Formats: sequence, structure tokens, C-alpha cells
Amino acid sequence: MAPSKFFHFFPVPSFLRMPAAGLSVNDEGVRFVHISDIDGAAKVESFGSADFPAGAVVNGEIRDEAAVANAFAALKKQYGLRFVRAAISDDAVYLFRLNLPLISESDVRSAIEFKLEENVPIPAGDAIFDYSIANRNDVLGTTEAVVAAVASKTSESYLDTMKSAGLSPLRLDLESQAIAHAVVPKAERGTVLVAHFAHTKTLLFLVQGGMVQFSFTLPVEERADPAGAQSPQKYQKLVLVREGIERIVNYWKDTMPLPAGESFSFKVIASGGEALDAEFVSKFASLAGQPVEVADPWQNVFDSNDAAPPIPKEDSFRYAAAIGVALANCPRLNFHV
Amino acid sequence: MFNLLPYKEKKAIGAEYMRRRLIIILLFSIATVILAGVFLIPSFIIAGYRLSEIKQTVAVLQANDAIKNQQTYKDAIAAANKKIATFGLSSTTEPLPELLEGIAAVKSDAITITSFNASRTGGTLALTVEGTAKDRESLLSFANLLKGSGVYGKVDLPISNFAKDENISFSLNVTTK
Repeated sequence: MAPSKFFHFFPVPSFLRMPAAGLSVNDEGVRFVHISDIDGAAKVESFGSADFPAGAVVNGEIRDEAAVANAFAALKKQYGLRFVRAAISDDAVYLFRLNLPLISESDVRSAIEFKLEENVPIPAGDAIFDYSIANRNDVLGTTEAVVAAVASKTSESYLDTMKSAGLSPLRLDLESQAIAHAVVPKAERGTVLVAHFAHTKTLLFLVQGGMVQFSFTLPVEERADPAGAQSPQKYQKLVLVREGIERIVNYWKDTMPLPAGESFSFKVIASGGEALDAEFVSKFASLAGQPVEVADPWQNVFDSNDAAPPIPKEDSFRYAAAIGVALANCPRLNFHV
Repeated sequence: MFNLLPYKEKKAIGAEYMRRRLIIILLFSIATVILAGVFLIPSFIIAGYRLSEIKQTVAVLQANDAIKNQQTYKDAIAAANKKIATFGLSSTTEPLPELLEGIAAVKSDAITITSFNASRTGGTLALTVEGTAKDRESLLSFANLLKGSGVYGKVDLPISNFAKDENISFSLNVTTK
């Protein structure tokens, strides 16, 4: 009997699966989406959001635990949340790529720990990190790992705040990685540059093999458009986005040198509310110097021909990170998280 | 995906998951036992009925055996009583072994006894002693010794026993007093 047939007749008890809602927390507020997997088909059980008071979370750091806990508690009370998989702002997390000698997987953690302080401005003893093996090259004798590190006090403040609100976090991930799970097609194995345009920031990140390799946050409102003050406000950020893309490309070229004659190619995906503005996307494409695809945060959840997402498309981008991290709840959607 | 929860918390989540697995295993085991019990109840009831039927059958058979045994014992006792009566092992009569011992005590080497026949008539035991005597004198002497012993009431030696001089086959009738 195939495993899918077996689990159709003998589903894993909910008590054991510990179904968790996807929760994204950033400076603006918290959003959650609870997706369940019913016989390999996704179903959105519930979704909701709560805004934080100004200054409650700054650059991904919780400054007002009581206010954040109240927002969590309000969602828990209204929607009956318990287990959650949370995504926190990339501002609070250091993400970098590390080249290591060819070592066994059991030794990778200690090797990263040894080199952690060379790459992040926090002592190894005060940092919590996790990693993914990006590549193991037997010929060159290298192991390439993508490492995410966060100050332990930051991780603990999220943990304590959620627990004080009665939530049980099962995972704490990056916002960019969660968005990538939602907006990058699950079959995509090439290099993708995602520009996620949020209200207060633009998040740029490079995804390869479904894994975020590097992310970069632009607080776009703080700078003016050097091309001219006549440009509408929302287009001003595109200039900085172009600079951000150049920085990412240069970083990637330095990190992953290509053989002579080969050029660095990648696909660009625009996400966020402004990605629905055709003129904005057109200008972004011209600045990026290549075609830009508009993301669909539900593409890895539903087949657009079979089901209509319960959240309108213009709002769905605000839930992109929550959707991405909620997909971990649905292993039978063939989404390896 | 990354998991940036503190290591201690990851361990606690792992332990919680293991605890839930154990609870599920325990619940399934209990459910299996309960279901097995429920499904075995009809068999248990049927087995109970069968057992009581078998017990009844056994009781009936045992009762029949007891009756048969009782009859057998009665027959055995009756046969034993008959033999006792035949051999005169009654307190009211002379015991047969003593009578036989008395005959053996007076028998000389010239007398050979080949058989005894005993019969009871009322309270009197009659013995017929058959054998061979070397000659007439020894036979007559044997008969006289029996008469003179005082144990026997009557010792009858028919005259026909003296037809031959030697190697006389005789038949002697003895009765108790």
C-alpha cells in the first residue's frame, strides 16, 4: 500500500501532528494563517492579524513585551491558537553563507560555532544559530552552509512573549525564508531574486534551491530619489531597490565565483502590495534590467484552477510570510520545509 | 527552513513530541485490549454455557458410574460373603483351615491327599477327602486317628475303599460336630 493511501485510511492523529498556525511578526504587527492538509489538499482554517502600537517592535527587536503579548493573546483568544510556527523580521537575524572544509554532517555545527564570531557581531555564547547545507563538493573538498544566527536574548524575548500569551512556538524562522516558501514556486531550483515591497521597508533576498542565501532590508522612506524630486513617492524606493539588487549581485558574485565567460543569471519576482500595480512593476523591471514576475503567495498552497484563496490578493501579500511558514504544517503538499 | 528557538526549547519540544507518541501508543494499546475484550465477550458467554453443559453431562455420567459401581460393590460383597460362607469363616462354625490342619496333622507318609471338597449343610460342614493310601493298614490308621482327634463329629470310610491291598484310592467323608 502506498504511504499516501495508508495515511488516507489511517491519518496521523491531530494530537501527534501538533497542527500549528503560521505566524509572522514584524515591526507593523502580527499576522497568522492556519492551513491544514486534508488528504493532500490544503484548507485555510483561519487567518487574522493584529497591529502593534508604534515602537513595540523595532527592527525585529521586541521593545514592549506587554503590548506584543497582548496582540498575541488577542489572536489566541479570538481564533483559539495554540501551537505556532513563527517567522521574525530579518532585521533581527544575521544570514550568511559559510565555506567549510569537507566534514561530516555531525561536525558541521561545531565548525560553524567556531567561525560564528567572524561573521556576526555577537559572541558565540550569546547566539542561537541554525544552518542548512547548501552544497557539498567532494572534488573541491568544501561544504557550503547557509547560516542564520540571532542573539539569544532576541530569540528568548520572542519565546517568552509568545508563551506569556499562551502560545507554544514550535519553530522560529526568518521572514525572508517564509516569504520565499510562499512566493517562489516549489518546483523552482534556479536562482531567484525576490523583492518584497512592504509598507515600511523593502526586503530583497536571493533564493537558490528553495533556500534564502542572502537578504537585505531597505528602509526606503528615509532616502530621496536622486533621479529627481518629481518622481511619485512610491517610485522613489525603486532606485534604492536597484542599488540593493546591485549589492546582492555583487555579494553573490564574490561568494560564488562563476567560470570565465559565464554570467550571473537569475529570475526576479516582485512581491508585496505594490507588485499588483502594473506601472510600478514595469518601472521595477526597467530598473532591474530584466523581466519581473509578479508573485502569487498562494501558488504553493492551492491550484489556482481548483480553489480560490480566502484572502483577497491585495491583502495576501501581507500574509505571505505567515502562509510560507504555515506550509510546514502540510508535508503532504510535497513542500519540503 | 531554520529554527532559531533556544536549544533548550527545541529539546523541550522534542520531549513533548515523544510524550505525545507514548500517550498515543498507550491509548492504542488500551483500546486494543478493550476491543479484544469486547469482541471476546460472546465467546466467553458461549464458553460459559458450554462449560455448564459439560459439567452437567459429567455429573450425569458420574452418577451413572456411581450406580454401576454400587451394584459392582454389592455383587463383590455378595460373592465374598458366599465364599466366606462356603469356607465356613463364620464365627458360629469351626474354621475350615483348622479342619484341614487337623487332617494334615494325622496324615502319615503312606497317605497322599489329592483333593478336598467342602460343603455346608445348615450348621454342619462336610469334607470329602480324596487321595491314595500305600496299604489298608495305613488307611485304616488314618481314619482312626481322625476319629480319635476329637475335632470331627463323624468320619466315614466306606468299606469299598478296602477292595485293594496296596495303592488304594480312597474317599473319606468327614463332618464337623
